[in-house]
Amino acid sequence: MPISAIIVLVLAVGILFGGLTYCCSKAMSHRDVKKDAD
Amino acid sequence: MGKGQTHWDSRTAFILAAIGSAIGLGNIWRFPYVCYKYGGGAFLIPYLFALFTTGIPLMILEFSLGHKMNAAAPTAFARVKKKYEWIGWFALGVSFIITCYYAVIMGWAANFLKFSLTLEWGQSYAETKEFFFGNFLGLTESIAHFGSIKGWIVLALVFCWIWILASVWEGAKTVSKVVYVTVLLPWAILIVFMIRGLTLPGAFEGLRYYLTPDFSALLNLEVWAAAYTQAFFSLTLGFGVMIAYASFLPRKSDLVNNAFIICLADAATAFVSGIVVFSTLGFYALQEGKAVADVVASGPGLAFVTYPAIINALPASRLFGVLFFLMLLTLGIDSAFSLTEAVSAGIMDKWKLSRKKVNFSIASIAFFIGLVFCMGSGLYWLDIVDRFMNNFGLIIVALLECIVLGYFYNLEELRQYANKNSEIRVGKWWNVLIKIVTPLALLVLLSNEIIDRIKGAYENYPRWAEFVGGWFVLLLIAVTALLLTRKKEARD
Repeated sequence: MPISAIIVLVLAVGILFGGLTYCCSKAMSHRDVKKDAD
Repeated sequence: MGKGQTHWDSRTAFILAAIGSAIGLGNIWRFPYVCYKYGGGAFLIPYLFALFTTGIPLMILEFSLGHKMNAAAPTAFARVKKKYEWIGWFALGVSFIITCYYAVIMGWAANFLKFSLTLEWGQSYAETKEFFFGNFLGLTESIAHFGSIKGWIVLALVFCWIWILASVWEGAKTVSKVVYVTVLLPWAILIVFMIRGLTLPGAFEGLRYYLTPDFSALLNLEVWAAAYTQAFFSLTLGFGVMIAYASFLPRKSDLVNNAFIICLADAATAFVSGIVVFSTLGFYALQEGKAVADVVASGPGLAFVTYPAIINALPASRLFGVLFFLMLLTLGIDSAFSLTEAVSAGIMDKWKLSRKKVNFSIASIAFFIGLVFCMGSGLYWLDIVDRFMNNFGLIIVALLECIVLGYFYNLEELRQYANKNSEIRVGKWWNVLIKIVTPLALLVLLSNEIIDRIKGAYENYPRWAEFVGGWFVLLLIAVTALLLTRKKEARD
């Protein structure tokens, strides 16, 4: 595979799965805060 | 919410249900091909741009509307202003028609699940092609020749409708449980296929076709239109599903972060599907001594012709056949029952009817309409109806959503409502996207389609067939939407 295809692969995985991880971690931490408040 | 409406068991259940609704057959058989066709890896730039400027903002809009109005699409629009109620019914009409043929495609997958036990579809590509179009569908020579109804497809259609009805039996309460299987199982199978695909000889040659960027494609307007089309259609927007699903959420719910999670999960699944499809296509091309470009396919041709031929070439082919068609079935079922649930919630909200009665009526009518697609000419009709429902029906609904909520409602109030309980807050840029960018993009897509239809009939079908399967169905939905709006609602 050419280097440009590998860069695309890394970037796409980074943006999509990185974004997903960030949003899910936000959701998890929010749940913790709510639990603490309860 | 209407009488008998239930809430989601948990936030996870809601997110999985919405992801399940968004992820469908298109993620497997459309995205990889579109990406390959429109610039390879470079396509991801306009695709992600479209996702962030149209997909996610529209998802937040639909969630906010459904949650704030606490109702499915028709009642939600009626609460904005009574005269807009028809937009909700129009959306549900489009959803209903799509469910009619979506269940038939699931019926094909159910049949192929059975065929994979014996690899009944033959050995070579020519044999699998003849098996699907000839033996299985009994495809007639033209749309004017209706052919006979295929018993095995009808039988599978009955099975799929029973499955759909069971999944929405008690609304969100049942769906909350079902989605743990119907969303997580296809993901697990997709991962199995990805590992298998990447370990096959020729896989990286396939990936080269999928991912190598052609940046010159970015100067082509057609590529941007394809990116917006893909980002919009992939997310089940304009169906009224997300409005209904958000109305089942508890009052203090996050809307914005949920929308981000759902949209990113959908895009990630489509991207991974591309890896699966192209790694196996690379392997298949190597086996056949052809270039990957010669074996690339999309749509039903990929799933029911090319893939069976690929499965034949894999070690443990029966196992992979069963896994592949089980994945298609479970991917399809969430989308099918979400469409049914949206329609049923709309009717229940307005007339306070019992869920079981409503669901059974929807399933029965949809089943009988679905018989049209089980005939020898069914694939032609499916093709026309699908094109018109998506490229006109859904785009019109989403466009009207943006115009009505953007210009004839307090959009800023809706933005503040969405932000109230959300972990990620949307800024005023969201108002600009909903008022200007998204409707502009949708208007371009709609104008393109109208110009194309004026220039010539879709896929060179006869004009009469295009009228019956396309324009007439759209007109019928619009008239029904207006009649339902005029019909008085039940008093509590």
